[in-house]
Amino acid sequence: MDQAELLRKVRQIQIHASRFVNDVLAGEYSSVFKGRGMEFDEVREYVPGDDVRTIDWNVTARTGRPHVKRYVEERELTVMLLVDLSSSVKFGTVRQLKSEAIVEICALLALSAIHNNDKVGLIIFTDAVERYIPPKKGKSHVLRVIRELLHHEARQTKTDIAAALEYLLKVAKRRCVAFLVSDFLLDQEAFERQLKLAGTKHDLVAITVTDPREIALPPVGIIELEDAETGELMLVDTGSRSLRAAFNRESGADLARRRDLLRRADIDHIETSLDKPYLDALVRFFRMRERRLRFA
Amino acid sequence: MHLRDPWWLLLALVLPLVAFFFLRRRQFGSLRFPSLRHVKRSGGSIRLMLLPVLPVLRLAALALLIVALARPQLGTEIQQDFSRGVAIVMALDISGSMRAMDFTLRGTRVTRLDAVKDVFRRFVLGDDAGASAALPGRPYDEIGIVAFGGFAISRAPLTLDHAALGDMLGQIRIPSQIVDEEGRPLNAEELRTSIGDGLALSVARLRDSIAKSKLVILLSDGVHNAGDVTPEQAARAAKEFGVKVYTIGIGSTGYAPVQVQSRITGQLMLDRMLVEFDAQTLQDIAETTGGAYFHAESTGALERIYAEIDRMEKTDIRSRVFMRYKELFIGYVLAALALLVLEQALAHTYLRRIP
Repeated sequence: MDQAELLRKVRQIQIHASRFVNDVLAGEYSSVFKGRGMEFDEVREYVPGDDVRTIDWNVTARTGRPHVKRYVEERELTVMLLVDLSSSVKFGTVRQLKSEAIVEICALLALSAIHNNDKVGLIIFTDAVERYIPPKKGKSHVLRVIRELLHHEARQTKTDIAAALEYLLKVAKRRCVAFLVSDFLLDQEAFERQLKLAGTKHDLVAITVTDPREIALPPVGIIELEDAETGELMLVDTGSRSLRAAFNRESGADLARRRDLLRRADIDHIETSLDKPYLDALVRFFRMRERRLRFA
Repeated sequence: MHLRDPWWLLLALVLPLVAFFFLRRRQFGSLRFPSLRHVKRSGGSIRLMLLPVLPVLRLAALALLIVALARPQLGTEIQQDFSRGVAIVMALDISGSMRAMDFTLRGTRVTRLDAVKDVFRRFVLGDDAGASAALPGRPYDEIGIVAFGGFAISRAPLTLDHAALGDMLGQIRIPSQIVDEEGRPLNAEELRTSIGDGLALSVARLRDSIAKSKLVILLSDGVHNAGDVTPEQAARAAKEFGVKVYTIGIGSTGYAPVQVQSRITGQLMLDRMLVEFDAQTLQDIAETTGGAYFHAESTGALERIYAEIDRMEKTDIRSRVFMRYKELFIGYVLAALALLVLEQALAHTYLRRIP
């Protein structure tokens, strides 16, 4: 991908995502991630117009002039994007590759965060953490994040979510909102401990990107499949009904295990599939978060 | 069954290479799939197990084609005996002098003709003693008989039917003298000796024979004194046609005992008869044609002479063995074709691979 094309793509994503950020997610995003509450800022003289309820009687009594207490809402969130760019995401049978969908989702989240004046950091991982961009504010920073996502050439092929989560725990000292965007095609038990740890320390949200073919094989006869991560070749008779049924069972069980795991770790889960618009899943998730906050 | 060009089988050495190539070549593309974890646990299918059959079929077809190239044949041996041995015409003098009874056969006095006939019969059919005898017989030669007195008569054409020849031989008689009331011989001409005519007729008999070697055994006991062809002319003709003449002279000039029927008593009695013999003519004939001259005084000598001729004119019996071959390659080619068709059919239907 050359520079011009990359920029064009970044721009395209930016415009595309910005529209959603402004129109669709505008209200949703800002409200669903809590800051750390109200923080005392200063005490200053009362000026007409201030809420009389905020007058600090102690200071007023001592000085003899009305003073008000100022609080600021701690709205400065840190959003960390943990992005899986292993080989297995370079796959897609509907409209786009999973990796493309992942980049778009991340761009959307990053732009939303910036829109809300939050800091955005990026961790790209495969078998190991391949790229880390510390959280920062600003439009140019988020564009850099997007560019990095598009530009990144994975050095490794495999996936190690545990390593990514450990890295997150190491670099993010303060509580942050972390989005773990991956296809989760690995043993679901392999990162349970890290998941729970990260879930308690941070506001972790898992976003799974799935291709429908991973759930069900189409009956197309004998095909040779190459494992994207290991390069292993295997002949598969997709014409066999029993094989397809078994595959369905296996993938379904895997999906169930994943959901179960995330529920046990008390981690929010956004499931997206390439055959459905991921935006719907995101909006649905934000609404759910909002609802939860309101009734909490 | 055997292979006509077995060296083609060396091509079979290439088969492992081809097999290796089949295995190596990535004939089909593969699809990248995120993870095979679930696929692996999904088990196989019959079709996947049958898939390796395809290259096997193809290799088998190739092997069959290689065998076909080596020209498999089914040979049937056909033995064909054929001899182009010797064509022999026995030119037999049946002039009156052959009646002379100066030969003995198994202790009995017999005429010269009877002695000759006996020896000749054995020469043709072989002694009773079999192959080890002096006269083993000449079963592979075409033999004919020409008898000549004053005239030459072909008594038997060249034939391999030696049994018939024996019959013919038996029928040969010396013509008797026919006299009128005054006692003048009516068939004096018939009783004379025409060596020239006899030889000429024998040569004529042999002329068209396809035998490799042609020869006349000319047996005479007299002097050429009749006929249209002189012995010299006949000899030259024989030479011209590549006929070798062995001449056998019997008897000698002088008196010889002859059995006659008494005109008075009707009894058979021995009489004396003047016979003339011309060895020179016979020698000349033999010399001209590249044969040999023999003189025989007795039956034993005659036998020896015939034995010698027999030895000199060895027939090489040739039997040619033919092999009739039936080409079998078509079966192999068809089988190979069938395998290929099967392979292609399977590869494009039941065992079709995508992409």
